[in-house]
Amino acid sequence: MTPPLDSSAPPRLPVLAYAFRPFFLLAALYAPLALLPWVGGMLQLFSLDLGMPPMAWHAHEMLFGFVAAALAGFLLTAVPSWARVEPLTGAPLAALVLLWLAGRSAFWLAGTLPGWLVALVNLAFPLVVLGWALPALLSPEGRRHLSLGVLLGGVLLAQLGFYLAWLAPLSLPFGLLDPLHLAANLLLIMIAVTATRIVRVVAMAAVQASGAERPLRFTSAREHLAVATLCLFALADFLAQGHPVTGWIALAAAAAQADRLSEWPWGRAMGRLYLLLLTLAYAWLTLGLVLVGVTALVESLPAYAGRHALFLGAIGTAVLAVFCIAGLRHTGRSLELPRSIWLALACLLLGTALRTGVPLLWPQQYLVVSVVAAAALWLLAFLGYAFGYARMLLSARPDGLPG
Amino acid sequence: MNDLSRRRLLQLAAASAALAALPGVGLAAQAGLRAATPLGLPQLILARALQDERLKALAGEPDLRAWRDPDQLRAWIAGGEVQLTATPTNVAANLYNRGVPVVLMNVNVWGTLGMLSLPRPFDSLSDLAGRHVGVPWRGDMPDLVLRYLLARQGLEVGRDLRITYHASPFETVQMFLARRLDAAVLPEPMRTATRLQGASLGIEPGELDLQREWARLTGGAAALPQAGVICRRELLEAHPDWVAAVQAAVAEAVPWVNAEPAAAARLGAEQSPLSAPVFEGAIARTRLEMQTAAQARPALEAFFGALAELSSGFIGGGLPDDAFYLADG
Repeated sequence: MTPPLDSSAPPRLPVLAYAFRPFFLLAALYAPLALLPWVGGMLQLFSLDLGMPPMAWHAHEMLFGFVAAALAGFLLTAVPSWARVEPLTGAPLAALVLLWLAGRSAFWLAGTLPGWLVALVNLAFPLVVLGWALPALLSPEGRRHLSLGVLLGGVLLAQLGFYLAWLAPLSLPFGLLDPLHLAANLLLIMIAVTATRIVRVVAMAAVQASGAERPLRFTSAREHLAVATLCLFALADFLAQGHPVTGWIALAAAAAQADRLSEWPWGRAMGRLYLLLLTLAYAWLTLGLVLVGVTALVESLPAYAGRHALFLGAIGTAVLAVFCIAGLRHTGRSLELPRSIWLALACLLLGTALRTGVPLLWPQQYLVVSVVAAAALWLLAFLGYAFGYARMLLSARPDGLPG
Repeated sequence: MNDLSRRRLLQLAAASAALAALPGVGLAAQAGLRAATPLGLPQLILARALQDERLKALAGEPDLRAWRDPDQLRAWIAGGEVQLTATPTNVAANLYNRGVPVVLMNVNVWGTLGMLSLPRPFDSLSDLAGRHVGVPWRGDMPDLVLRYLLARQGLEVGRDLRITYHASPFETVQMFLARRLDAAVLPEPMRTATRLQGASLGIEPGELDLQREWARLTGGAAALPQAGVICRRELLEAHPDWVAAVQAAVAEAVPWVNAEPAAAARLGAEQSPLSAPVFEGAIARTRLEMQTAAQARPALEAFFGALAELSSGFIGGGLPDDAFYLADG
């Protein structure tokens, strides 16, 4: 992604010079905050009037609060370079940030505000983002990336489905958690689709930087198979979650992701953090699908274990990867990630391992290790990013270019 | 708890038993009685009992700490860090069968298991046909009681109904509140906490008492010997008067909890993160009755025998012998 050629005068506040700046920073700060009511409730320390089951609130804020901000930052930054359109900066960007903040405030008050108002404020944000991005993605230059717009539309529909299930329970053929799982699965497809676009660039850079000679070859058919099986899984998971057929489809999707991973440059090049981040996200995706598949087929295992590998592992790591890589490239810096990111990645990795593994292996440690320790590590991971990148995100580009 | 984790717990208990066999380990460290309890109603009973002035006059100011998982308890009791604890009866038998020198003093919780159901109440287990039931931890007491009763009802898991296991009761509760399950098997006070949380969300689940279902399907009493108090054998040998005083105090605490649920709930709330309304609701839905180990033995053996058929790990071996039960008198 490169800055558009035709940029207008930079806004006075550097943080509003490009959408990734405020949204990445806010998403990183919000990531641990959105865990508080959930963890506090689990520990019986305090309970807030959330207006819905805590698990649904928690999943909503992780997806439509934290990830939505990250996704908006990514799309509003990437689309201008893909489709050669003017980026959203300055006052309009500030208004969009306020809209996101209004959504968060409304959701924290979901137990007291009218439900329709909470839903409208929260739907307005993705509608504006999609409304802004869609014309660009339909343009001749942007059409190559239209699939991301379609997926974003799917996430928006899932979000709408969530509010309908919340406001009119039992009147729909699906429950409160189904649209949340669907949205998360659509994000997994987005990771797979985005990986197709960026792995060539990132892997090539890593191979060259590590001095390895091995030629790289990425087979499109294998990439398509990975995406197609993942789409099939998302559909089956929405229609029949936990059914053995869905389990087999999850395993097939896992096999296709693993097959795809085998083409990535394993070896010295993997020491480059930007490639490692993407690979880890993809490895969690593969492992999570295996666990989801196995738990659907073997009834004695805790049914939810694989989901955390997918949500924290795949989505969390992918978000951190985008934060890190786009944060450097679009502030005019070389792809040398700050050392603090190693710590953030280690925390995220360990936190996901505990959240996923402890319920399977040491369920008696569920609260202390799988919930509290994993939440603390999640907090450290994203605060680590915020501290490492805050200066870059809040100050103007060192090369003097706009953005 | 899955089989793998159960095996690991038992390995730990077995390893700890070697330490526990050393005479006097841990007992000399502190003068007063060191007791432990899980969160919930056993905690309330033991907390009340340990306030007994006669006991304090004998054993000094007691120390009561709460354990959150059986792993923690096994380490404490096997290492002598605590001398006496409230515990589920199968955990007590497990410790005994693995060589930890413990003695069962009494059984005081006889009915804490139930099911919550949505959207309509279940009148009996037969209504579970075609439904999706959430159960915390495969192989633990709630799961085995449910599976035993389902077999008696003629329902086959997988064919007639679907069971989903979770890694923790907290996960089961969240899945139930999110309407992902038609029913959830939960002990008290978790069931009352879930009902209260559900009420704030406009959810009013139906409730089915599994002890009543046990009585209906087996012809026995609507009472299952689920939890009681155990002590280390060396405490009994060194201070039989302390053990007798605790036994007498528990015998008074149980009827007090039944007679004064509001005061008992306040005491429980002081001792744990659970609120007084949760305790009060749980007391009303739990059968509490003090029976000495010797009195409870026939019911215990029938209960252990029935459930051990489904999982040999339930009590970690055969039925405990005479030395497990504190003699009356």
